[in-house]
Amino acid sequence: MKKTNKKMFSLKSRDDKMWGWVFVSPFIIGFLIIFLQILIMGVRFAVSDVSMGNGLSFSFVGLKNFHYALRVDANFLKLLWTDLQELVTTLPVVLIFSMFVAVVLNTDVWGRTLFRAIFFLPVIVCTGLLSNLDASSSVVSYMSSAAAASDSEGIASAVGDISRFLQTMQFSPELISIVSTAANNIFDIVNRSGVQILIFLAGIQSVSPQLYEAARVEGASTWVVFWKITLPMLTPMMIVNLIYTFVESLTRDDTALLAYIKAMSSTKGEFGYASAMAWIHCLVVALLMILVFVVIAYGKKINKKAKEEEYK
Amino acid sequence: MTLNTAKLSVYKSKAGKLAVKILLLLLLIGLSYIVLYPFLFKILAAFMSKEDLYDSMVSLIPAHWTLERFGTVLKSDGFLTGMLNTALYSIGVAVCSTFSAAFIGYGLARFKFKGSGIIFGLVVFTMLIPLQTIYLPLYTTFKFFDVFGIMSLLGSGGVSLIDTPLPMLLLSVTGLGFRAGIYVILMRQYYIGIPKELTEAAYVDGSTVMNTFWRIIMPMARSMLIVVFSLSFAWQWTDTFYSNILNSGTKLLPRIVLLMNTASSNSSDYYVTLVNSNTASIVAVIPLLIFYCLLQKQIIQGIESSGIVG
Repeated sequence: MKKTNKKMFSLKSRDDKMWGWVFVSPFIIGFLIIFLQILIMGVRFAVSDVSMGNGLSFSFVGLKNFHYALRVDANFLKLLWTDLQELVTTLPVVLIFSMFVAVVLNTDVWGRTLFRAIFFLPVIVCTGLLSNLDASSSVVSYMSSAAAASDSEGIASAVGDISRFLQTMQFSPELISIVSTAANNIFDIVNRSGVQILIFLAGIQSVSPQLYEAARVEGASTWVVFWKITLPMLTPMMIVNLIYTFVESLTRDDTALLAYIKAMSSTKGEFGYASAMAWIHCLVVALLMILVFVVIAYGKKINKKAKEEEYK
Repeated sequence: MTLNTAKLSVYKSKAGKLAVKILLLLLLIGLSYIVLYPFLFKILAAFMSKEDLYDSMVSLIPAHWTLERFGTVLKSDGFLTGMLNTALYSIGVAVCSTFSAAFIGYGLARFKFKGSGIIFGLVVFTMLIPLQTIYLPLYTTFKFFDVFGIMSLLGSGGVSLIDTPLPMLLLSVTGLGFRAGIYVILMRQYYIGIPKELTEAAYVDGSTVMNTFWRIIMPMARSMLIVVFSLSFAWQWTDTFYSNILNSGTKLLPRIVLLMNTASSNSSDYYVTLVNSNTASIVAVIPLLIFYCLLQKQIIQGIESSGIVG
């Protein structure tokens, strides 16, 4: 009885199909008329020797560029491997850290509006303007040159301060280097977690307050509430952040490989070769992404089975 | 006696809570210090007078506070019009990408049709392509813009859309703008969490699909829509990549700031112009922060007024 009711109420599958296409149509149109062109031209770069003379001229060379990247150029695979290693170490840290900060910013801590604004800064910093400025401007290094003369790195971050403080306290150099590496990593992690914090924050906000109230009435502790309510309700946002962190850490300008590719095209003028490398990189990332999706889907399946057995 | 211990335990838990609160506060202050540190020099340098900049004894705290730098920046050529242009441009792009993400995400989350998996894959794929590799293709596509060769059939060989707001608007309407894939994924994941019974109840009451989307789903998704809006607004506001390719002639704020920066390195009054351009970057970011402070309250209110039961 229940089943027939449900069928009656839900849309017919034919309508389902139609409305699905209607809603995704903007993307499909854009993909066909804009993105496909860009893609095809990108592929054309990769299979050609491109020379910049009077305009661009292409001469077809087949898979030569790809072959060169994989077999001849020793740097390519090494740099790709470095990037992937870095991804594996930062991904979990960024996810846990951003979730933690989002949960803290959601409690009634003092001055949370101010803190939320401050943690929005990394979102802006991760785009071009400010990082471009920092790279090209020396105001920071000029201003801090007097204080940081002993600092070999000369990077303007809180790290210099901390190591200088430790130096004045006369700690051993080993300890100082350990602490400053850790601090440097924290600096990096914080600046890469801005978007994730924002997404988690909105995710926590969309958990119904009634759930928390019910838990409080039942006498659940904050710890239990986090594990039993906040975390499960945040799983969809967790996936978003996973994808975002994944993509962002492999495609931002300053990864080892992309810096190499960029240099190859801008200073050496090897557009074709740079493009071929970028395509291989893109394929590797896409394959990894598919792997992640498969693992997620598999995890969901297991979870579902376990739940069904629990009900039995 | 029992009353006393009970009182004590209440007191203890209160003290414990206070301790946790203070600890968290200290932690947040520490993290904020890390985030703010790179800006600290810029902000403090912006308040320095000319003597301070050339005085090696003054390294962090200005000795003579002045608003001169801010005055120079605001009076500089095209800065305010640039800011206005950027504001209009960013609002247009952000509105387009928010609605397109809301649409596309809903199609992917709620309707079962063949190929939806592939389309989701393509959305993710658009984000995976490194921007540097599509630099030239992006330019030529919009320099000779053409839909399936129709324009060239008419003999004009494509229309140039460079230096108009159209390329960016087209990209954001179709969910292809800067990191637009993440907006679509975000909306899709959010819709998946909305119980199906809600929309089905609406269908039973005779509501059409479009009506249900606009009247029930969109108000519910308010906080996510605001997140998408603020991300795309902020990223468009500070974007240098797309505006370099597609709008190099238009007066947009990031370009003005960058130009000031490069101009300063050739100037005779090196440090003053350098600090001026840095002040310009601070002034350029301030409206964004104010805008975000206003919006983040909306994220919270959105939930309280929508009354979703999870």
